[in-house]
Amino acid sequence: MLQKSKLRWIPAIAVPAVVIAGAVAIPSMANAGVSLPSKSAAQIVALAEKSVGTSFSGTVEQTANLGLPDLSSFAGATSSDDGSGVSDIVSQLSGTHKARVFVDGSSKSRVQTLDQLAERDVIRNGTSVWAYDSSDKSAVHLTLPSRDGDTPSAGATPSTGAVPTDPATAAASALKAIGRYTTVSTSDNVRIAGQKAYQVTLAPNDSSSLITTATLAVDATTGVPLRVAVTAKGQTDPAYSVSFTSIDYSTPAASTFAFTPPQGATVKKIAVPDRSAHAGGTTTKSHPGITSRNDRIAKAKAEAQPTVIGTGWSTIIGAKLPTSAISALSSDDTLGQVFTPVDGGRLLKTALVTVLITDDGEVYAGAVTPSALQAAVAAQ
Amino acid sequence: MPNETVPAGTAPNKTASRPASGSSLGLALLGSEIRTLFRRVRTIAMLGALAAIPILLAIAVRVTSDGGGGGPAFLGDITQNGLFVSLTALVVAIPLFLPLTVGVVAGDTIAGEAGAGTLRYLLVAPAGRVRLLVVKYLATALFCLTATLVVVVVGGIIGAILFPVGPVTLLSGQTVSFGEYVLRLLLLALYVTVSLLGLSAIGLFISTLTSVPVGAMAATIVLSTVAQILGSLPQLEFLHPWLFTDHWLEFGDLLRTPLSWESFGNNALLQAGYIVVFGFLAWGRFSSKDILS
Repeated sequence: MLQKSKLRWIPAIAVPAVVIAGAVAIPSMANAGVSLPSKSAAQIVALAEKSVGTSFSGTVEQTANLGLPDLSSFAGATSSDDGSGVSDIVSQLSGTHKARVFVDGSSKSRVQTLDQLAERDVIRNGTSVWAYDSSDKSAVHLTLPSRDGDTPSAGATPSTGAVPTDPATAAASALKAIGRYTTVSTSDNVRIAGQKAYQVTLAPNDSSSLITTATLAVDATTGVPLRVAVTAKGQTDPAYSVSFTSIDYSTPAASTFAFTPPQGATVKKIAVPDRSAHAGGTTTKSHPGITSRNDRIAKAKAEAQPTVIGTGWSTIIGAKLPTSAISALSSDDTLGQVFTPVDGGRLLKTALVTVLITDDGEVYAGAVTPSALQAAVAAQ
Repeated sequence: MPNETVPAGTAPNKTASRPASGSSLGLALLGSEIRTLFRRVRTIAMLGALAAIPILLAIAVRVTSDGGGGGPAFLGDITQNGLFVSLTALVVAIPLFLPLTVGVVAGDTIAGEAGAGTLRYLLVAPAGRVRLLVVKYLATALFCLTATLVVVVVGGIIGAILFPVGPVTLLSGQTVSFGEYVLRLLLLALYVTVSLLGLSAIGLFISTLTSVPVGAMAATIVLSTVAQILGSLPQLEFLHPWLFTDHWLEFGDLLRTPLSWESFGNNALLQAGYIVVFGFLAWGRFSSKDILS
């Protein structure tokens, strides 16, 4: 009897053990050995470039591990009352964020940033761009100049700003960085979101850069960039990555791109932005993903034309801060925790980007080590 | 007790002689179990307490009529649309009140019978220990669904009485008709029910370990709280996907357009894992246990 009751435990223990072992093992097995006809780096990049205009829908996960303190709890507390845009962006740059991306050709797109019980939407339908935030029910409408048909929506939109860039957009900026400053190579094929993908790795030649590699994974059949991962000096896990977790290449329903602000929402209309206002934005796109995002913060604050120091991966962008921004910065507790005081200003060091705010109200940012940044600014 | 189904002269060892009409016996047992559960004063009191959540919430918002700023999600929407009372009540009930009631029911399943000395009589009836476990679990699952529906339905009714009702704006900014909203609310109730199934399985297992029902209830409730605390610590991020509470508040995905099934699927898979693991553990424990009470 005792023997029998002991035997009874065998299946009762074995089944849970198999379930747990399976749950642990299956995700790691998914990446094993993806065989594809070999392609050179240039062919892979061409494949990616050809994919512009592909229709798809998918879920994107953005992970940032920049060494910033986790501010999600702060941001949750402050975003409802004063809607401080800076803290929102800082919180967007830490932890994991999910978004759904819908793209129909090159003129229709929708990015839904999925927050818990809230959502931020950016919807582009031809020249009409809507941004909607469900937490405060605010909508912003923008009409693009009609000739500007090929600008990706996420980069061109105002307002919420803190939307994870979809891999397609992030990859486009990564491709621009290819040149004499970069070593381009291919790396092992991977499986991302169930698709076989080629990988291209970009490594800066400049040793003062904080970036060790930027890896781009490209869908082997469609060429759609499925993942962009940026690794920082001294880290093995990517400091920043945007990756599809699922993708579907059927054209999304047309109703996805239709948007009418709901009843009770505050609607703001924004005038067509001046082309020259974007000039700064294009030059700052020399670094993939994260830099353009950080520069957008700086850009929003800067009134004067930004100054550019250096070239390639170690480019440093400088701008004069308006006085209102300086007082806002010193009064913001969240930011006060992030910056450390240094000679002649305050320094923010993250895994990928270093930002220096000098005492005379200038801000400099670049993907370089703090000492390189301070030296370059001092040499100004 | 389905005493009428006990054939005369059945040996106490029920595994030896199992009657041919096995499935009908299981159904009869399930029916009697459900009747016993929902006729209990304690169960009715717990459902009443859950119904009080949306009522108190709606009255509080109505009296103060201060919707703006802070509070749980959707609280500010209530004054414009009473249908949001259901959602706010769910957000309030999910972390504490629902696990509390489910913990009481799940912890009581086996330990309650053992504590009251009725377990051996249940097993004298040719029910079989496995069948008894399954029936107990199904009754608990039905309680999860009922508890969730009570919050949602009472919330909708009290909201409609105290506030204006109109087309509902989803998180994506789309406005849907009343019919579609009801459909989504039912899906949402299903989501929350599924969320609680893992906790029910844990409660069932703990309940087989002891004959003190209060201990099993407390342990189940404490586990749900511990899992939520662990889930809120960013330092333990590697652990989060394994916590049964991980998807509890992700039901917002059912309020987007296009409807996202991703978190529903992930949640169902996770809970199924918990059901299998703790279901088999409960079976192992219960079938090898000496029933003395």
